[in-house]
Amino acid sequence: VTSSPPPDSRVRAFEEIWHDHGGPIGTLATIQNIPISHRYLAAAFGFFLAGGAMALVIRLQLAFPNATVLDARTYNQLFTMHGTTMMFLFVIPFLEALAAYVLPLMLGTRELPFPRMTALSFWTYLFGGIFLYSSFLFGLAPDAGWFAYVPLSGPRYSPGLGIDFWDIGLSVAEIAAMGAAAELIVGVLRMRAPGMSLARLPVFAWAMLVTGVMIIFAFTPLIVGTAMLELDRKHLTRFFDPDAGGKPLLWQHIFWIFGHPEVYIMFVPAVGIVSQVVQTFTRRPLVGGTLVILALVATAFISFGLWVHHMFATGLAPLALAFFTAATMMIAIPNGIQVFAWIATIGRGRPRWHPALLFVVGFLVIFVLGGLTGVMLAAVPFNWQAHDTYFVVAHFHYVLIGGVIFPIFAGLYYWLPKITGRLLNERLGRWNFWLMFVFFNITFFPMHVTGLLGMPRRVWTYGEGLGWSAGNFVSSIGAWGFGAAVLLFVVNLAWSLWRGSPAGADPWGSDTLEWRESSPPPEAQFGRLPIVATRHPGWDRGAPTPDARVAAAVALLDHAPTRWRGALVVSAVEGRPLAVVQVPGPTVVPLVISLGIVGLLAAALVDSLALALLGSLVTLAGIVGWFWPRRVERFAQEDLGTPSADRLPLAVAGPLANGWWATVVLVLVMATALVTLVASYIYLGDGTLAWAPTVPEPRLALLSIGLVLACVPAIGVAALSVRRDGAWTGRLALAVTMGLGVTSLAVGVMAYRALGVAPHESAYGSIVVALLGYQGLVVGLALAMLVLAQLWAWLAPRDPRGHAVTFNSALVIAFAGFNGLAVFGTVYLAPRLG
Amino acid sequence: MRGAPLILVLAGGGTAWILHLLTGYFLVSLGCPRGWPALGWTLITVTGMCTASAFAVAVVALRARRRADAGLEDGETSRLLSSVAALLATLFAIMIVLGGLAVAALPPCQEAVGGQ
Repeated sequence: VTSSPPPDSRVRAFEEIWHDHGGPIGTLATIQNIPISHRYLAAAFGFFLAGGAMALVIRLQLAFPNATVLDARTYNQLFTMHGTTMMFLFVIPFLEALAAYVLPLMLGTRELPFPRMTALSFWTYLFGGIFLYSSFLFGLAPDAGWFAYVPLSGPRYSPGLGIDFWDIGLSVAEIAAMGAAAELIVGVLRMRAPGMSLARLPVFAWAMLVTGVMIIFAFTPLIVGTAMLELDRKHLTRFFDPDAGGKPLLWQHIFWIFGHPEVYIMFVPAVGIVSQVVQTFTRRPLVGGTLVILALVATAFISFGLWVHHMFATGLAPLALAFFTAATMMIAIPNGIQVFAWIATIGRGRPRWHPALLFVVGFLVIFVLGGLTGVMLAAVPFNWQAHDTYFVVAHFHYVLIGGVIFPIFAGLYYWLPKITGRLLNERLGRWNFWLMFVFFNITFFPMHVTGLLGMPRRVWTYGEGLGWSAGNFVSSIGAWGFGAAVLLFVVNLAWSLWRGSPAGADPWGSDTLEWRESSPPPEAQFGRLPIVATRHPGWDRGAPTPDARVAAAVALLDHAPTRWRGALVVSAVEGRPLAVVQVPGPTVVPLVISLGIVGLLAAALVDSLALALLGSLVTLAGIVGWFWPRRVERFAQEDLGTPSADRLPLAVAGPLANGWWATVVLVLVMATALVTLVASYIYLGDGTLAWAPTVPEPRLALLSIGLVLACVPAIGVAALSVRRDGAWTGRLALAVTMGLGVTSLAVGVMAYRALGVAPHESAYGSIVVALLGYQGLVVGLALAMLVLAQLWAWLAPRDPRGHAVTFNSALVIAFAGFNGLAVFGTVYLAPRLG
Repeated sequence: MRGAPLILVLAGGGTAWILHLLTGYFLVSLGCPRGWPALGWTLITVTGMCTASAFAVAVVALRARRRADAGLEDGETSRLLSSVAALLATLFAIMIVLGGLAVAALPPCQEAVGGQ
């Protein structure tokens, strides 16, 4: 687009509106993706170093037979916290933080869709992590492994507060990860440069989109599972207690339906990083780019069908074993496609052996070896032999360090110059790579042998004469060398910040948009939005002339708006400009809500009602602040409130608005939780739906569900009235919906009382109360949204922000109706099948 | 292709595979202890239906690809998405068939093994 540059005054005003002021309050209030990502990355890397330090102490203990560096309990605490830290507090948050930094730049947009959510995710993650680590201060660190199998993690065998720290701290970190995932999904699908269709989306953005979807479906069952475990531990329920009809193996199913996709949730972003690095440093497009995208989607699907291979030793029918063996071996197909695509790209390109590319080659070697032992473990007879031995430890470290940590280091060497504005030392980088690569193999290769010689996992020491001593000694030497190699990276980073050469905007000659901005990027990213016409905008200059709508959108947003922060929303598939969205400015609200959540955490840990009330009040105050109307929103409506042919509308309500899509993600989360609960009901009933001790009387429950279903047309009328400016009809319809919802809740409570089951008496009572309670929770959430919608309807009936709440409530209410039917069918109708 | 049809073709093959896997697993886990009749034939039928569904998705995606090639839809993006969908559905159909080989090779109900 060729048009006259904007006046300096507009450029200054634009930069000022995106500028976050410093000072203590300003620092805490910032919610922009760049400063929040800095903190997120630093915190996650800090947890990585802490988790790594624990591994070194573990290796010290195992270096010699009968060593007494640690006692058994401390050893158990350290390996539990090492795994928990690496899986939950380092890899996922680090990758999400990297994506939060890079994606807006790579996609050619100014911000992520929900900056307050980014900040909330960060603070919640940080406090959740600190909460978990605070257990060390009390000598109560969790010690049941990162998977916390019951009955070991149950109240009988872990009576202290250690597992409660794990359970509660982890739940918060999971919620933070899910918030960030929703951000990534909506961000990739809707906040892009004009012209960036899905066909022109960089592979890293594809990878983060797939990762976001996987997190939503994988983390939800774990949140349900950890809630069930915590309730069991507080003696409120008996989901996992065999004495009450509960099943310990239910935990394994729930944990691994999360745990196996989790491996790929970590690996898929690595695929994105590796693809970007390979393209840049071989100076050619990825060979088989379409196939790599196919492999990403295929991996996401297949990863959800493999969880049973973690349970091969629990006793399964041979045919079931065959199904999951076949499925497990199939994952090699998409992974193989990716590996061959990268090798072919390196082979056909002109590689520049920068440390980032070296880390990619290291990744390829180590990950393929880990994949081969994975195929070995997929074979059931071998799996039974190697189960719970150091062979498995070697396998998953080859997969996770090779498949995730090496790509993360490749990504750091690639993107850190963009983040800090300074180049890292390449010579130190090469040393860093070779030392990490060599010491990694010295550490973990011998574990295959010690595993095959029979050394079990998680033993705190071993005797002499078992043939394990030499292997363990070599592994320990390697581990300390690996730790030193990681520290070399820290040295390189410090050197870079102190004396590194300025990176310039694009030190590598890359193909993606993040390299068009300065290094580090300005607060106001893309004052003038880029127009994307190819998959490699950095390489394919001389783009064709954009159509009139694109040109108009770019002109409209050229260093504008200047009274509020505005960004472009595009269509998900074609990347056509659709609307302008108002991006929130600095606020301490996410921090306040996170502090409230910490209060609630502590209350749950020590069973304190006062602390729970305080936490609830602080959280509620934060939520009110979140929704409190702001002046800039008024400015946005004044500037863009009236759409016309040549102007883009302001996206506030309905499918055009990001909030609507966030609600869709919320509904997906709720649906996944429902499936988890219903599947748990079926599993606890030994596969039959008809296992209720008595057939429950359905009339009251039917009435309750009927009332919820009646809410659906009522909220539909409210939404239609709002759309047509029918203020009174809208208020009335909202009031009727609320009345129906409240009555449904009241009748639901009566139905529960009439059931006569107690959650603490039997697994049946536990799961039934969980299902009914979940229905109450969903209806309660819908009611809370309706209260907000009603407030808007009275105070500002024509304000589209209020309309947005009504539309979003309609989605939640529709789901509440569906949820009610599913719960009713499971609790009341299914027992009649028997 | 966009919206629901797009999601359907992109997710159709994978969904058919997951359905086959879960149905097979649950049929064996539930049916064998209860002595459900004709379990083997039920499994073969499920395998056939899921394979057919995945192939049907592949055919729909291929037709979308042809429409894109003929210039009837937004070219570049439709070509990419329909190609990915067609390949995915074909891959999953093959995976269903391979998973189903176990049904043909093994009797459906044998005693559980591997418990420690």
